[in-house]
Amino acid sequence: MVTYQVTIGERTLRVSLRRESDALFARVDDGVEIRVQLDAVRGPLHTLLLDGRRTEVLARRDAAAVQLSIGGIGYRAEVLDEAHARLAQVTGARGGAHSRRELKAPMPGLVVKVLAEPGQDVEPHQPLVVLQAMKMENELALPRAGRVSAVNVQSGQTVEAGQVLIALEE
Amino acid sequence: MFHRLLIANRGEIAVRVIRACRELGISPVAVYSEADAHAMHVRMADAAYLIGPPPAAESYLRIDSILEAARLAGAEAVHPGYGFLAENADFAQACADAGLVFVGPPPKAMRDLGLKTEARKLMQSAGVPVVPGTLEPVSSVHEAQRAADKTGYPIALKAVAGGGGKGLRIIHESNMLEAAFRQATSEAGAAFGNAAVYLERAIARPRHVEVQILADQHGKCVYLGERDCSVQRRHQKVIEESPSPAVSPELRAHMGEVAVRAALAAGYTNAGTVEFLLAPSMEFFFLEVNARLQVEHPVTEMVTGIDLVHEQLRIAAGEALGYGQSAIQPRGYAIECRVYAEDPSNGFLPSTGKLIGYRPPGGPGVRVDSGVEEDAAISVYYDPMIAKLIVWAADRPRGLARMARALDEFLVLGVHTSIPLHRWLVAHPEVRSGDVDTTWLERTWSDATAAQVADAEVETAAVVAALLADGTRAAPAPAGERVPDGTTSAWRLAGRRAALH
Repeated sequence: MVTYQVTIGERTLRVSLRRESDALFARVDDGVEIRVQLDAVRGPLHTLLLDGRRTEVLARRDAAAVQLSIGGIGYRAEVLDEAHARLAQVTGARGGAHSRRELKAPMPGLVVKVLAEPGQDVEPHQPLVVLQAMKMENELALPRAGRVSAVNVQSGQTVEAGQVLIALEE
Repeated sequence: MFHRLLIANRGEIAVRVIRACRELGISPVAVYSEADAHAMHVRMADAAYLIGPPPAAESYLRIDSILEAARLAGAEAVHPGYGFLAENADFAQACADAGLVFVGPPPKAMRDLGLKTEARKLMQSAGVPVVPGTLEPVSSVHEAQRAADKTGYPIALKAVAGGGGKGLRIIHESNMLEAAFRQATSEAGAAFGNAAVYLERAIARPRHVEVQILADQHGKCVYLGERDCSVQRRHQKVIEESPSPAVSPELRAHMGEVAVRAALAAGYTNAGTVEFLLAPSMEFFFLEVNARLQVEHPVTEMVTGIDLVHEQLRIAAGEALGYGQSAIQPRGYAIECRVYAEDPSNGFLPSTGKLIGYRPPGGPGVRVDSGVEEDAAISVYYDPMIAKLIVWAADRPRGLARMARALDEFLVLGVHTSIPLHRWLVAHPEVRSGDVDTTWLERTWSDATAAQVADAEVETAAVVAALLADGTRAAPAPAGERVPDGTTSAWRLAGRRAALH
């Protein structure tokens, strides 16, 4: 039996895989065990058999994460095996936690408004920056609450994708 | 008919027009920005001309570059698609001045319909019902106050040159009017370079119902039924369907006749759409004329069997409509979902990137209009629409079931898409019963809904991710305990390796 810690967005799920003769069984957290089979078809196209029912899945794994599309819904999953997950817990080095303290520009654009200032306490999903890109004004927020430790941009400024706009305290 | 036509657009609509050109024996010519050098519309055209760098203002909006491309290509006509220069009367005039046929209405009709107060005056004199309010811009808070008292609250302040909800304010009480007036005028000025606003009564919970018309250059005009676009978000249409679940045959005929009257009053020719607000009382009011081919035109094509782009090109070439109103008999039901590269579970944030995987649906009654394919880049420069998914079926319940099936088949990897929102919509009891209005989606969609939609397959995603990680780890075939992997073939290979030891 092998257990993986899978982080998708704000959720972390424990996936245990168990092999019995030529069959593979998966359990998510404390749920029921389900027989699974994943077959690569071509490129990112896979078929997934879940308890005898087939689903088509697009999936691709790179160094940092697995990108998936299931039933039209896109996911980005970070996978750690149990040993690495424990190690990460000790060193506090889990990649995800740090990135969620920082509001990064998801795409290049123009900062239209900055809605937070250093020292301010913010709620989860509270708009912090308005970024104009792709003809639209987009309100950017973080999924967690916290106190703003840094505001790195001002309105009128052009930013690159991935640039840290606002950071919260630890 | 024309021999050579230039398409002043990109993406799915350029592809759509190129296909119509091929069917009519016209040689299509594309224009493109540096970002689109390898785009589908460029590859499908007979000739293609680079018109500038990626930002639209430096390429697809450059009238001079586009006209120069048309001259070099020897094109006789220009199709503007939708968006970009499609409703720019100066562009239509510049085409005419350069001896090119503009596939669309005459510049004068575009100008008259472009200003909302002018359009309202024109429509009222033609006997087309307009929302009660002012026919002239209101120039001061005082004037707005007086007009609002006359109209009665709630009222809407709208930009004269407006659209897309910019410069629009709904005011419920008179003490809110002063601030709203200032906001609306400054927003309108910033967005349209014209700060003028006018005032009309706000219709509570209206449906958006629009009538497709075709008018030739010989004074003949017909209507092709309606499209109901009541499911909207931030004044942007999300799904469109025909027929409207709210419109009776009598109302359809009435709205159609009024739409034809509106088009004739404006001296309109070519394909156009007359938009109406339909109140819960079934009273309807003129909203505006979209003087172009619309994004959602395939819905009408599916139910009428009439190819609107063919008709546009024939009309522009001076041909007469070869049929009358009685020949237009819509059949069955059609619905369109606009699939955008955006993340419904994260505030509908546009999502950019490469389409690592793209597998559109198919099968009976399914049409996908798209300008992308696998490996295409969704860039920051243009509209984030990936594809329009349209289905046809005998009736609305079967159409919604077919749409649900088609959405299930639609696989996109690399960017987030609005498909989860569409899946949620076609399954929603109020959408299924047709009981929606233009404010319904924003009233009904919440952070909780978004989270619920995003979470739907999260366990499956976690299992697949774990299986993929597991498979990779198994690949080097370590000597000791063998880690099970998720793929049959890899497991068999590992078994063979074990047998060789």
